[in-house]
Amino acid sequence: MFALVDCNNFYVSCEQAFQPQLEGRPVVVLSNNDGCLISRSAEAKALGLKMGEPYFKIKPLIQQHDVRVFSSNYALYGDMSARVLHYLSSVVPEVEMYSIDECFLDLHGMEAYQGDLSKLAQAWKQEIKRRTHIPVCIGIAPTKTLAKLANRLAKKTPSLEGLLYLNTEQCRQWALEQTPVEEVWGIGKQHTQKLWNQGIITAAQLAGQSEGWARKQLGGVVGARLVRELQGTPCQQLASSEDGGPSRKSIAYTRTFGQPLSDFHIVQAAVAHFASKAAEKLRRQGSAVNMLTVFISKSRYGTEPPPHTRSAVLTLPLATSDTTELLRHARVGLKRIWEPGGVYKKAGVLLDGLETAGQQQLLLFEPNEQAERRASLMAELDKVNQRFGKGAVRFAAAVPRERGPAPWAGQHQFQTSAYTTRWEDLLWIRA
Amino acid sequence: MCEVLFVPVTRRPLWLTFFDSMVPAGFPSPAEDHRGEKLDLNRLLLPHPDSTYLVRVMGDSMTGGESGIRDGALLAVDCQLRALSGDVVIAVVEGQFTVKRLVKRAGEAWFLVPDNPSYPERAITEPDLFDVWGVVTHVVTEIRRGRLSAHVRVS
Repeated sequence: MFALVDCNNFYVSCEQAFQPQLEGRPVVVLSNNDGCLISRSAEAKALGLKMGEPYFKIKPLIQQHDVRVFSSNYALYGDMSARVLHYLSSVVPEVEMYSIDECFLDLHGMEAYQGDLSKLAQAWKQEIKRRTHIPVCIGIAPTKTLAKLANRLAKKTPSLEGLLYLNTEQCRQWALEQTPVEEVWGIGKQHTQKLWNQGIITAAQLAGQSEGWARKQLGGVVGARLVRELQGTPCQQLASSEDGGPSRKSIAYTRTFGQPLSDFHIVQAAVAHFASKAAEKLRRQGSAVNMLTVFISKSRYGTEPPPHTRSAVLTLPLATSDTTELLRHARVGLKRIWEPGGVYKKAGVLLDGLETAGQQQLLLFEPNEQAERRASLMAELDKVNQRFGKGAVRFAAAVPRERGPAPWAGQHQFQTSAYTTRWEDLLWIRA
Repeated sequence: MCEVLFVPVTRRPLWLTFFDSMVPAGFPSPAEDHRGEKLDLNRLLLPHPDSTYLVRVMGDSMTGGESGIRDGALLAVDCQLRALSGDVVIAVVEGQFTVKRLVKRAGEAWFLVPDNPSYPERAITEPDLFDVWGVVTHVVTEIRRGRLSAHVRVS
């Protein structure tokens, strides 16, 4: 058996956990740069506020109904997510963190020792609520795909009280009939249309198809697996790593600018900043990288014709996690795609081709001694920044020339404090 | 009344050397041969890292009592514990945080009682508007002004 634990309205719930006066009120959280809605309380959903809607569009509605608005506060959400994960890993043998607010659990063999799984899951739900003040829904089923489906129903059906266990054949059949085919995990937009054209509109109808049919219609072995999972045969296991987090295949740091930028030096500093951040992430997980992509984007809503995004991919001679090296390559990449006179809205740096640091392929003529000294320099840099705060020591290339906030920095007008991760950033709660 | 504010929990151990033998004064230390285990304060103060939060108190409604919670004290709050009568709790009353002693009196009557007698106690008459957010397990205060004070309001 597998379970999917999903935090309800996670970002909003994190805010509510530390501001109980928000309970029962319409609350929304905005994406990076205060762009779009990315989390809504039940009350906000009831007002008709939609996921992904741009903030400027819904401003009137928000003012009219006195909706509380927050900028995203990832320091807080990350810490709360880790607390949920930490608790779950203490009660089940294996956990796969699927996203910041969802975990798969492997419940294999637990029933024999611990008894009824729905009772157990009920207890987990209550414990998570008590420890983190975050409500969760749990779906339990023989396969990951069905667990995901059960979770969705648990969330949508108030009478289930946030918990659905597909333990019988009738139960599974009922759940499949309740689920539109486009809501099945792994069915994308493309397949949806195809399935509709063939008259398949529920998950039950899809589960009724043969494996051969699925292989032909839904992209080979992936489709076949999907249908078998719906039929109750597990084809996917947990992809868990030692620390519970997924091991990354690539690292990206991309941001929409707080304001449109057209000065090369400013954009270059922004790209350098993003590259240094990505490099820090890289070193934190002990990896080195041999491919670097830089991209810059113009506004999609502007008057300029496409393409709105230009990118440069660079293959590095030697896998590295050295910020200096990555900055050098990032600048070369940016120069290659820069068009004078363009107005840019967004930029990003992607690091690909991760290798374990210290085990990368060596160049024949590379002076190794220097590489070692550079590695220890980077380690010292990270230590200093860890001790004295993020960005205490930075590369000059990543520092804007003018004083004050970086011109590319995003807006977060409505940000709450990092209540659980920063001494200086304290929230006041009136008693 | 009190104000409470939240501060982070870091789990980096703080190692203190623990000598498990008496060290006679004026005598070469025999402690080298008796070095004990290292003590981790976090293990003592924060046994449940995923359910413990640090909060800071502002106000003096809890001063003077046996809890020793002064203005500016740092509290460890464990949310997995069930509150019993007599516990100091972080309560939510009508959507607002407060720190008080939770006391059960004759029958089923529950009260939020300040340690400082110059503040009024409050009967929990509407349980719907009341919730225990967490149970206070430890109080940290500073005797000599140091780092803790940097985060405390100086009144």
